[in-house]
Amino acid sequence: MPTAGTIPIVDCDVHPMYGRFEELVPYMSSSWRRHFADRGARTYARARDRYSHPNKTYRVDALPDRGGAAGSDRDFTLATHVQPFGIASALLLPQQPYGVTAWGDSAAAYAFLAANNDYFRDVWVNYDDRFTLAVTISPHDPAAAAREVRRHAGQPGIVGIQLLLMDKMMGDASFDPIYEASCETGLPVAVHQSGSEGCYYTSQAVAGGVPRSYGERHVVLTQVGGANLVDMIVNGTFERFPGLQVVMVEWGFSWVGPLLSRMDLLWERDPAAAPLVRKPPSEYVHEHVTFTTQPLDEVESRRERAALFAPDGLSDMLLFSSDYPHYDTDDPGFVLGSRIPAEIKEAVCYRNAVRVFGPRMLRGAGAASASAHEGVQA
Amino acid sequence: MIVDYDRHVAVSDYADLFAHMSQSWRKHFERDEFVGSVRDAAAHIRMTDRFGDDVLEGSAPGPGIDLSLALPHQGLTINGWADQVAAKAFIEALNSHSEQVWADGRARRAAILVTPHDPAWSARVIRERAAAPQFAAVALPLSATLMGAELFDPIYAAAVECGLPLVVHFSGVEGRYLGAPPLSGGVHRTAFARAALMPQLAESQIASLCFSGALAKHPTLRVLFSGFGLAWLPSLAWRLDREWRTFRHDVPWVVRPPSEYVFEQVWLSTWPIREAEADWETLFAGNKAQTRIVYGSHDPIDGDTPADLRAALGHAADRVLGRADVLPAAMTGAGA
Amino acid sequence: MTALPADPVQTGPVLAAPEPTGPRPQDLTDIGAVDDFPLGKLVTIEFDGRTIGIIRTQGGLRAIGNRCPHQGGPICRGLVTGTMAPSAPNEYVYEQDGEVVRCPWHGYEFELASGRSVGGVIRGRVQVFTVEARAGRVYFAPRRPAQPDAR
Repeated sequence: MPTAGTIPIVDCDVHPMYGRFEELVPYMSSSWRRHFADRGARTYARARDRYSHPNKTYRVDALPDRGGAAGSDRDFTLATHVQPFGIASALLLPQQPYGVTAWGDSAAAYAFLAANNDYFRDVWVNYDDRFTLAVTISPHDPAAAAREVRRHAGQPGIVGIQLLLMDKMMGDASFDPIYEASCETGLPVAVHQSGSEGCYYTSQAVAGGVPRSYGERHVVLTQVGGANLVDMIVNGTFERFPGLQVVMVEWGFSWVGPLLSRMDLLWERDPAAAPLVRKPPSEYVHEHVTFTTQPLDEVESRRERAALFAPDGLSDMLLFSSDYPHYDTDDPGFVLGSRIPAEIKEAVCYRNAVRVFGPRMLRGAGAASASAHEGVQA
Repeated sequence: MIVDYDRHVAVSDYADLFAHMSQSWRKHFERDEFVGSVRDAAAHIRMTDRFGDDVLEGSAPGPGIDLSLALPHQGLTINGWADQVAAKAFIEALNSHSEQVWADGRARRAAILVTPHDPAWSARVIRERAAAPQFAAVALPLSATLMGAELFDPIYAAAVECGLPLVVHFSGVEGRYLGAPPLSGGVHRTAFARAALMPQLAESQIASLCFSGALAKHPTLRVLFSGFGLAWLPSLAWRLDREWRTFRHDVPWVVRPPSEYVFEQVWLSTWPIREAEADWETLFAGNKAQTRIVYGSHDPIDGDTPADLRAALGHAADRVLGRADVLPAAMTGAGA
Repeated sequence: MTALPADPVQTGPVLAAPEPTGPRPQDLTDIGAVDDFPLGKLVTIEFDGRTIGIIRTQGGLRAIGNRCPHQGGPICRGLVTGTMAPSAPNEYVYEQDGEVVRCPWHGYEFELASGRSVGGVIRGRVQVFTVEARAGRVYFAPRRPAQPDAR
């Protein structure tokens, strides 16, 4: 097991799971309990008869010793991931809620998400200071989503919002109540792929057509991240919500620099083509958007590594993430040991995350380790 | 020698194409609304919401250009048409116009327009037209079926047989007209957003060509993605290779890292060069990716001159300007 | 969700590879009976503080280290399977059944006998070690096999 580094790490992508549906039941009304008993609750978004993964999407070595699904055991997660790598704060992005992006029933989606949010707050966040949570909301009912955000705001360990996407891109005005709640509560909006991308009319797609396999689709899945960035900028989202912080989780970042250059050139040539854009588009991204590091592009040479980290301002925009316990994890020891340039390691490990999510990101033991590190630095 | 791979040519009046059509097809096309739609096509290629601009005609190659490839972009807009039968008559008329007006078989060459909606027909057109020295490439409009699909095999086989590279350029209706290829995300209402995301179309096509084995199956097929920018190429190469490493057994016909096929068989043109100016040194200087880049002026639509290239790329510009290996070797010898 | 079902235990037929002849090298350690290593099952042992994966395949005994050369993932937890050979487009040619292990992290495939990366997707290899059967016992030594690529 790699030894923990001295730099505290904020891991901005950890996927916990509840073990059995029965565990959620205390967090919902009896009528919703009956509803889900009758109609079930699909907890995965991807169309597996369209894009099937050849292996397991979780790491087999992340299966808890006591049994249960990967990511469903708090103690196992602490003992095998959080503790050994010196993770001061693990941002929990529950993945079972992703399934609601394939649900048509708005009220059921809300009830399920609310139960998940209460469960993870109660069972994980209140269990250990190092677990922090982004409460999950969906686009089914933006007003309800905004209420859900406000319901949890201010509670210890609640640090962000996990916004699920369906067919509408993030610049759509229907998201405004959510952004308003985000800005009011200081909870950044984190966006992670749900798996529904490229599957349904009710989800967003990659450019060009239908990729034939899971792997081919995964190459270009990053494009949906770009589309949402463009949509927010062109629709003036950041002008309307100057305090909004958006965290793009697991979308990669090597595509960002070229897209920003292109947008800046287009805007320079014809600003009137995007009247809601009041300044170079790249400035909105530098001010309002951050990107998690996993999956880190695998470069072949020092020159390529320099190219990967070259874009202006990138060092302020990156947040370390592991994607524990998924198969395409970035092992923290491996990535932080040899793949992130030394001069930006502190920023990527925790400083950027604390800037974006605020000091509430580090609580108790996590805050202590950060102070210890700062003390050593001083 | 300076080669310009992206010189845009167009008729200012669709009636100019009627001479190349049978009387019956002409009578079908000569309706006011179709003839008037030449203005729509003019806006498409500009990727603009502006309405009422003039139609930019075929331009002569810029000064100092030794060899140019003309792209009749009006033919690319068939990827937004509803009538794919009429589309064939339209693009054949444009091909005749290329042969007679836009290309001279020496310094000025043109791309043969084909259609993704009828690969067998397209293969016949390629074989017929390729005999004429005016043609140096095949222009394939994008369709909503990614290029790796087997159904396009006749086009690739014909292009390879005739020694012609494929040129893929946006028409401007992608992401907008029903049936044309979608852009990523959802529906983008502004031309600005569509223009920003247009390069992703090239990414998806390249991924499809790699993962389907089309590039492996046609090892001498050359594909030039023109007008999509270039700074995204290193990122795409990293992602292609990483997914191949995990999913190789799903695509075992991809027998090498996908980026190797890309660095042998795929090219990108430079327009708009200023987009890549800041990144050129870090992303392209002194590495394989640079060998993929060729000069495409995009004249007369906000075009880049060779001087623009030199201003943006410094001494690297000369190699890019002179890169001729996309075209058939016999042709570039003749054009020098 | 429950834990993964146990792999079916198979008592195997006579080993495909002939047993080595000649005196047993001194550095070999007896690590168990042949029947302790069911056919097709990757069994881990601890040897000198290292986790080693021992597997009896149709082609013989293999011993691999537990570290994927990619990011250090626990290879011995990976799926033992075959792989798809390089092929013409749209054709699957399954081969090397039971001779390939897939890393449980990013799914990279490695030949159990040689440790080589299938398809050459990565330059590094999984470590392979000497393991042999003699008279119903399995012997191991933490050194490379004489001819790993020939097995």
